[in-house]
Amino acid sequence: MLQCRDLHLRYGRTVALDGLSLDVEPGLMTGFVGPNGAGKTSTMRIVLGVLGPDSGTVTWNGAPVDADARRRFGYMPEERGLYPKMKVADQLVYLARLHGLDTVRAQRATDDLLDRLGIGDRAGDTLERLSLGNQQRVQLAAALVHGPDLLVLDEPFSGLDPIGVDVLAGVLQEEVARGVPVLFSSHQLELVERLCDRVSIVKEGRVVAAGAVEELRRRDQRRVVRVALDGVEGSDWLTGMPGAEPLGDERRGGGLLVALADDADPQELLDRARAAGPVTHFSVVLPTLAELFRAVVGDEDEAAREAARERQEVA
Amino acid sequence: MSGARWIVARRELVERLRSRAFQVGTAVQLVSIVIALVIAAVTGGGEDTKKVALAGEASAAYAAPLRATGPALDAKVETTVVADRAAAVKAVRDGDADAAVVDGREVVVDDDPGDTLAAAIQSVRRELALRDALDRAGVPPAELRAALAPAPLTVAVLDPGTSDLSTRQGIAFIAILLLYIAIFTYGLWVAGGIVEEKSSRVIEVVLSAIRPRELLAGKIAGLGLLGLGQFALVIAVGLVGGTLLDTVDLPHVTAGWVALVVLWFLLGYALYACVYAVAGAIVSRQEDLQSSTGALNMVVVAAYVLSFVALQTPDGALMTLLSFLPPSAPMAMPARWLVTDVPAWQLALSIALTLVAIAALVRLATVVYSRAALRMGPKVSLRSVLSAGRSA
Repeated sequence: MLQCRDLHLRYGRTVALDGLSLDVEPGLMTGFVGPNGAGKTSTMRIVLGVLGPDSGTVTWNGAPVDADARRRFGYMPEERGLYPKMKVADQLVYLARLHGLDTVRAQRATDDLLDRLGIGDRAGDTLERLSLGNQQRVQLAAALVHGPDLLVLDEPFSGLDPIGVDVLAGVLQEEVARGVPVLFSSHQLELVERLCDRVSIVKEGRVVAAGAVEELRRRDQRRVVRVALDGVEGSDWLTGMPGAEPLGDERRGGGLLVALADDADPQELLDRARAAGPVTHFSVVLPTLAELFRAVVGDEDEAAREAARERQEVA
Repeated sequence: MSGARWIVARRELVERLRSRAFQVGTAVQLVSIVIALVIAAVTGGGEDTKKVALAGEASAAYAAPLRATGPALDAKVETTVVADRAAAVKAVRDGDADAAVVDGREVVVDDDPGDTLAAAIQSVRRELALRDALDRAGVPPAELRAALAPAPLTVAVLDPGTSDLSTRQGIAFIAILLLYIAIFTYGLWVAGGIVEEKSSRVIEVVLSAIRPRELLAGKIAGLGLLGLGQFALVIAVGLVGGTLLDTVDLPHVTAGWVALVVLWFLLGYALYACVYAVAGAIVSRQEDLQSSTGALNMVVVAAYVLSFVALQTPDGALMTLLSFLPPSAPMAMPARWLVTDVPAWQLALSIALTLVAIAALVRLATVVYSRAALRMGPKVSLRSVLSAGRSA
């Protein structure tokens, strides 16, 4: 299990990490979400040792992470990159060897992995001759080739077509099934919701929500109710009820979504609905991860304003 | 060298060896050396060959003594037998022979009766006449040989070492040039290799597996090994080709000299590779490399030009100074050693100073590289890298 505790990092006057703590447990897929600049990449780089934190600790199975432990980690950086003029198999063997495998095992692992990713026939080509999608697969192979104890992937799904997404998701699920803890960041929240057992939402260098996805959804403060009335369109009937607010364009599943404030009574909503017409559907709706995210992180503008304020305070 | 360093070094070596640019570059270097040697041979740097046509039975006796006059003429004398006087005249007129001897009585030359070859033939004529006379007088064969080929006089050289100064200087100039090209080329390899890893962003993948200093050390070692191989190949082709084409007086180029030049190549490469590593680490794109290596290139060129100029007066103060300053010592010291008598302690001191400089530069390069390897974007200033407390 990987544990980050109270990580702080500052670039000049910019605060990148502000006491971030994060757990990545074995056999679980952990999603790492947050707006751009929230500190996801910095956290991952610190875990991999390519960046040093100003303070805070990273432990692996209870012990501080050292070079030997890191050699057993697999990493896909946000900025993709391999040697463009080196043959695909050669560079995977090279990276596997840097991670401590001997030549024979490195060669075997490379062959197996390229076959698994469906690019075994491109092993002898230089990387630059491959399509972008296939280069992305080689990049994933670079993170996996040494059979890592922990996988850290920064935006692994960005730029993939739906088939690529499925291949990558399948591979990650296999790794999780092997008991490998997987941490990946993504802006594709539906994907995170579908794949991840746990999720950590990060904002301005701090984790603001973490836990199992289901649990987070249930724990949400806001109550959203879906009401469907036979023959009544629109939300005019809601007018005048305190603490009830129609949620605009949410059409999935039909009916009208109504957000209720803490002091609003769902029974009053039901009474008003029955007064307006025959009720065909009335249910509490759990928020999607995307909705949770927006609620927790706030809209971008607000986040940016806050970040600017924070920078001024630091200055 | 630890495992990771060696794996990195091996990759650097193998991948560059495979690259078309390296193969073409090596071929161009070797071809230009061969061309230079051929030009030197053709323009008379080496020995002449003089041909003498012998016509008639009486001329046959001239063959062996004529060939023996070669060293005195600073040429190789070859003789051929032709049928008669007409054939001999034709051979000389057509340029197939430089001179001809007809029936042991007549010398045929093209246009210059005072030709050294003609003079040599006249002296052979005297030698043959003398031998015949002595033979007829009944002098025993052993005494006859002793009289005609006495042991050479011993030669007392009053000012040894100056007669071949120009030859030594020539070799030293070539040594400086080769060292300059090698240090410059391989230094740029290091800078370019570092930027390549930054611009392709593979650096982050590699540095998640090994430490920056392991990557840097492996890269410098791998490129250095390949450079050493190329450098040695160039020297070997130059020496072997020079010997075959008779353009290099091999006795002047001893194994010790070659070893000294190779040693200074290694020192010079190690010194400049560290500085070129710094120049490469502070930029992220190949386009920025020119500006970041600019000042450094000037230092290398200045060290080369100054050594070259100072070598004209190898005992001068400038040459002595240059042979101690670490940036120029790798070129100036071996050149000075080739040309003049350098006290051994001076050589040792110069090597020691260079080693100290290398040790300091290795530290500098390691620190800068460790901190700047993951800094992307515009060129970062050396000062900001060194003042930043954080190391990755």
